[in-house]
Amino acid sequence: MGVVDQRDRNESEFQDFVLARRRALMHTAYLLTGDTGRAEDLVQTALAKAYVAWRRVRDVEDPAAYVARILINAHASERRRKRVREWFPGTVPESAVADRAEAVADRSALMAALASLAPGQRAVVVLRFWEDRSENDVAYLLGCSVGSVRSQASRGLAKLRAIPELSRLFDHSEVTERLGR
Amino acid sequence: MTRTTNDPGDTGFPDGERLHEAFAEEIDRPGLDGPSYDAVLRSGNARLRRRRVTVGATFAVASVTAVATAVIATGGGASQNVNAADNPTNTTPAAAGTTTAPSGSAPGTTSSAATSTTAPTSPASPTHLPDAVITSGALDGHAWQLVREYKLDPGPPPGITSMPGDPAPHPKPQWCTSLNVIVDGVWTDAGAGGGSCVPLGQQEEAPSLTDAGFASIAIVTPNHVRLGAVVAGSVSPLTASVTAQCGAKSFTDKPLQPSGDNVAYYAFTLPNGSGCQTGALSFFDSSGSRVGAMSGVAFEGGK
Repeated sequence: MGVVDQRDRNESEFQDFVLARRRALMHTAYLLTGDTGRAEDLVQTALAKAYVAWRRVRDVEDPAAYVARILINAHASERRRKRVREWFPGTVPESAVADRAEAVADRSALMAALASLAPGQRAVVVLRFWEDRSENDVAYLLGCSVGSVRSQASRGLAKLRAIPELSRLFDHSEVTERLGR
Repeated sequence: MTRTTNDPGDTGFPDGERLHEAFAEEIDRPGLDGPSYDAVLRSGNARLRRRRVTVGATFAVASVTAVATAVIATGGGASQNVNAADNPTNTTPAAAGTTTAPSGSAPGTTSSAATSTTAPTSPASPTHLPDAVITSGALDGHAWQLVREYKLDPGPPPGITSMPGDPAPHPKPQWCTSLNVIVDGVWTDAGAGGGSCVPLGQQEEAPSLTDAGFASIAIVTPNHVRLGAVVAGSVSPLTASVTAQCGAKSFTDKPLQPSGDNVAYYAFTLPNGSGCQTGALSFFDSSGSRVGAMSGVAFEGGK
C-alpha cells in the first residue's frame, strides 16, 4: 500500500471515529462545562489532538476512552488557567443585560447544581452517572485513585441531593436507606 | 429499575438512574452535535503545522523580545475612551476628552499611550514575548493598563499524570495568550484568556481579517471597586481600524500590534456611567472596506 493510500485510510478511519463519537463527547463536554461553545471547543481540541497522533490512538485498546481522557485533560488544563474565553461573534448576545438574566433563568436547576460542585466532583459525577463508567474507568480518566472517585461521587451526589430544586430527582427514603447501610 | 453504575462490591447509588435520565433531558437540546469533521480536520492540521514550524524559532523569538521590550518602554498603546466628552454622568470628571493625553499616569485621565515607566509587566519569558501594554489610563485616580500576556501553561495538573502512550503530547510547557487588566499595579485576573496556545519557541499564527475576537473586561481596583470596563480583542495585523458604535456615538481605534507579535489588538475604554451597555463593532481593512462586524455586543459585560 502506498503512502498516499495509507494516509487516505487513516483519514477515513479518523473521519469514521469523529462522526461516531463527536456527539457523545459533546454531551460529556457540555455537562462538564455547562456551555455549548466551550464544550464544542473542548471536543474540537480533543479530536484535533487525536488526529495528530491518530496512528497511535487507533491502536490502543479503547480509542474512545483514550480520546475521552484527552478531553478530560484538556478541560482540566483550561480550568486551571481560570480564564474566561474570548467571545466571538456567533456567541455575542443581542442584549447584554436582558440576555444575561434570561440565560441565568433558563439554566436548568441541574446545570446550576452541577456548577456548584467542585470541578473534580463534577467530573466524577458526570463520568459515573452520565457515562456510566466504572470507578476504575473514572479513576483512569481522571488520573486519581479509585477511593478518591468513590468519595467524590458520594460527596457530589450528597451535595446534589441537598439542593431543593433537585428534590424531584431523588427518592430520599430509598437513598438514605441504601447509603446508610 | 435501580441503576447501579458501581463496580461489584461498591456502595450503590440508586439515584444514579434518575440522575442519568436528568442528564439525558439536559443534553436533549439543539446545538450539541459537536464540531464538524472539517473543523476538526482544520484544527488538527493547524496543530501539525505548528509542530513543524520550529526552524530558527528560538533565535527569532529572542530577537523580537528585545524589540518588544522597547515598545513597552516607549508606550504605543492606542485606544479610545468611548465615554468621551458627551457623558455628563461620568464619575471620572477628568476623563472626558482626554483620550489622547500622553501623560497616562495622571489621575483622572485616560490615555492612549502606555504608562511605560510604571508598566508592571510580569517577568519576561526568556523564550517568549514579554507582556505588552495595549492601552492604559487612569479612572477615579486609579492607574490601569490592559496587557497582552503570555501565560505559561505548565502542563497537566497535579494528579493527572501523563497519559500512557500519550497520543497527543501536551506541550510542556506551552504559552497561552490572554488579556489582563492591571489596576494600581495589581493584576486583576479579570481578563479574557483562552486564546491560542503555542509550544515554546513557536509563534501564534496571525488571525485572518475576518477572525476578530471580543471581550469586555472589568476594570476593578484591588479593593473590588469597579471603575469601568475595557472592550478589547484580537484582530489581524491587517485590520486598519475598529469602530465601536454605541447609540449615536461612534469611536474609532487603530489596533496595536505589539512588536514581534503576529496578532494585533484593539481596545475601547468605558468608564462607569458610559451608558454603553451594548453596541456594535466594525472592522475595516486598509482600503476602508468593512471586513467584519459584531452587533449586540455586551460592552459592559465584563465581570
